[in-house]
Amino acid sequence: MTVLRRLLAQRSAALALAVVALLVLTALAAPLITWLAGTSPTAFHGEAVDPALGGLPRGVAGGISSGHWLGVEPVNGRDVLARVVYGARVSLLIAVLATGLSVALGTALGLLAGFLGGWADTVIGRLMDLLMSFPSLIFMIALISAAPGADRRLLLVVVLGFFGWPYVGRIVRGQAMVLTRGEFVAAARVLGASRRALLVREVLPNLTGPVLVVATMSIPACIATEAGLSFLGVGVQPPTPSWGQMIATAVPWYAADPAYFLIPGAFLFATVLAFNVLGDAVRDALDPRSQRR
Amino acid sequence: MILYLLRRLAVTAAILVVICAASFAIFYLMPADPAQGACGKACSPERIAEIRATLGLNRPLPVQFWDYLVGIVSGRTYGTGAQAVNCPFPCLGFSFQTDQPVWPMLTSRLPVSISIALGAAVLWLAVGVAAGVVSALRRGSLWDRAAMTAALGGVSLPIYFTALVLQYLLVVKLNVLPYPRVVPVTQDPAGWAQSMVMPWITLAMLYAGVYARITRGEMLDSLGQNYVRTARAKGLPEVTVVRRHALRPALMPIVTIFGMDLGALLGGALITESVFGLPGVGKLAADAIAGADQPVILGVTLFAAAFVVLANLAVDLVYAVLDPRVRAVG
Amino acid sequence: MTLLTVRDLTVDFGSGIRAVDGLDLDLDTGQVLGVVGESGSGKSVTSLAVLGLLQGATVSGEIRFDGRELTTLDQRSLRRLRGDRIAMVFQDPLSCLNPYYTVAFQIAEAYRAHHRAGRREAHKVAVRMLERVGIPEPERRARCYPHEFSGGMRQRVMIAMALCLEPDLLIADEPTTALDVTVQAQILDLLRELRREVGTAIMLITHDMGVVAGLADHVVVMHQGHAVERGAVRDVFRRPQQPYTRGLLACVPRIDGPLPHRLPTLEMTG
Repeated sequence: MTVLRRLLAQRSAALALAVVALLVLTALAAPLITWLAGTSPTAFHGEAVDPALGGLPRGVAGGISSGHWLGVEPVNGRDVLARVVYGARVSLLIAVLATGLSVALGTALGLLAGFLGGWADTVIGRLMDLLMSFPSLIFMIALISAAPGADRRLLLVVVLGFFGWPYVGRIVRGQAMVLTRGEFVAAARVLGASRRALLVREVLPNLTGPVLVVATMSIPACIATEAGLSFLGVGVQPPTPSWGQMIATAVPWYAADPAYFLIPGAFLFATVLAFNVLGDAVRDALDPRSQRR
Repeated sequence: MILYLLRRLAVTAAILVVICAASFAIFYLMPADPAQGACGKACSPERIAEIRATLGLNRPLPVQFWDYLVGIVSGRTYGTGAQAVNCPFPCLGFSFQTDQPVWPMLTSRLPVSISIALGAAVLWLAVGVAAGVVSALRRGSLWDRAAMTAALGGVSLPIYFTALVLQYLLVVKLNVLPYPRVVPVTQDPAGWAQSMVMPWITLAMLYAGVYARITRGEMLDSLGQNYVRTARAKGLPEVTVVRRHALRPALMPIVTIFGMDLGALLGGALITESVFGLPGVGKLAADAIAGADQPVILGVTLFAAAFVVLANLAVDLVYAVLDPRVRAVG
Repeated sequence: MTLLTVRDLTVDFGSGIRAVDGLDLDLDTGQVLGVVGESGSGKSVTSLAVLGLLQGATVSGEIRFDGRELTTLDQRSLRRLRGDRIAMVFQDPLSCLNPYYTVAFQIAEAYRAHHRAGRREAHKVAVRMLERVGIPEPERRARCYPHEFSGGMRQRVMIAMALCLEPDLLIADEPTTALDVTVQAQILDLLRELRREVGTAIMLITHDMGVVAGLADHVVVMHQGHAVERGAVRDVFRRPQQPYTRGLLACVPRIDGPLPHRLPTLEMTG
């Protein structure tokens, strides 16, 4: 709780936390919001676009009106607000699940490497080095495009989680190595604690802090990568909306209808920024030493 | 030192083979049919069978993999007789969709990608490191806080979003830059730079922020070192103290991180190229993805992986040269 | 002739932390002044204040060096004094040498900061200095990095660096503390020898009365930022006036005295 208090003492962190909370709420309440706005993410609104102008939205700033609060898409006239809030749902869900997978894999393998040492440590350490310096985006694309039939959302979670675990694993391994040589673990061992009890009672609680920091940093990275993959056409498939995919479809329209890429782009930027600020703040709150930086 | 070099080379070769195997497995164990991909959407069953035979897809997987490795080292020929297709060294596969070997497709796109990546890297290192150094020297000042806020913003900006905003502002609204296009640097250096400015800024924006944050932290660490105090006590000018005794040690971790970021840089170049429509290696990959041209995707993946692994080797060697302590251990 | 005069020196580190409080010091040309006290007594802060190297602190009082007032001197002139006329040797030679440069480079660098000299000439000076401080095979060792040296050798390098410009004043801050006992004796011998040859005055900062006895002419005992006792080394050692000084002296094990049951501890009196 002192961590939370220290966190909220920073104005930027409190603000970032509020943005994140608002975002989560938006994602959860997406059906409610679209119901209130009287729209849906998949309904076409031919009347909102002008066929004479090649399907450009009627009105200012991408067709912003009382019926469509953030305008409509060119050509088919789907409501941008509805797609943005449903897109938040998809992006957040994928990012959170992928981060969960990274944390699970990273903790397990990191503990294994840190505890066992020897060749297990060498192999896992090498693997982590390799994966971290890898052109992961290109590999993700290769993987996803090699499995055309699969559910893209599930595939994204698996792929993002797989390429994300070394960042968790590296930290867990380091901590596990320090902790297994730490005095309090030695003390517990002298008192006759078993290996498993040692792990559960002494080592794991000490890992929560550092892992929490990496996890907070991993969520914006996953959101950004997912959006990038969707942008390249190997992410979330229409009709399911995603921010990256919205920006990709906006590329041909960027000069005529800038609002169409600015709106999802702004949401994406704000989300990633809020998570990044929060990640910094969590690290500072957990590790007062780093605050001098 | 020579022993160290040999050991690193051996490890690098082993890693490359493992990467080959992994990429190969991805493509040939996954549900997608490479023959279908090679042939395109509308394709008769006979044609598919033919391609299967030509590609050797009816043979056991280890044999296929071996053939692929041999092809990389010495070139190979697909099929026999009149339909034989020659794929000279280094054969990274053959794209039946475009009827070309993958390697020349890659190398012809390389200059554009290198132009983008190299320029961006120079820009972000210069801006990022400089901003980080100044921030560290004036810690807590208005500049420091502004630079670090900007850095956090830059880190959070998606590349394609930056690209679109820049293109909208600079090309459409203000009309100060032309649309990015391919201008060979040897023919028209000014035109080349002008057309590359936006891709450079786009890519550099993201990484400059990352490097400014890292540099600031490392500089604060090294400025607090005792040897910096010694340097001041010797009566060295402050500029020399900072450059020689604080910046040099701070650059060491930055070299390492730069090596690790080269892989990510490729991904960034891919997105940048596809937003600006520049025909680089990234655009090649993006087009291949769109057309499900698997030999090309595999070729680009392997090429990128090899590039990163070799670049990391280079970084390790640079590190060994820069840091006398590593040299001694090697 | 008076070389260094410190009057009413006070150093504040914000929020009411006063490291040095109204300190007076006098040091004559070619003399050795021992400044003794436990850690936190303000002796290191005093030495950094003389060099103008304190950051984030408020310094008041007078520091006169060879007739010039240092506290009001501009940064440029102060920089010219540092290394050239006032040099310093620090406590932990490993962390005080930059691991990325050869020892010769770091000595030559000090020389070139104050002399118009080419790289080669400065390197020669560095090798000569290494030889002078007793590094065997100075030509070869000059190209070594600090991590390839032992602790005592590193401290010799620090001393070579400090003395290559033949300064008027050498400030040695705990020069032997991080070293093994036998090496400590060697370094003290070296300082004594160099003092005789170069004629440099030394401000010797230490917590060890034994070190002072071996090298210093005068001694100032510091406690919590104040000078509690001062005088010629012989007088202070024979007839310590303050209980604090007696405590410090009792901490020095004597070879000729009776073996104490327990080592005495310092009484914390103001």
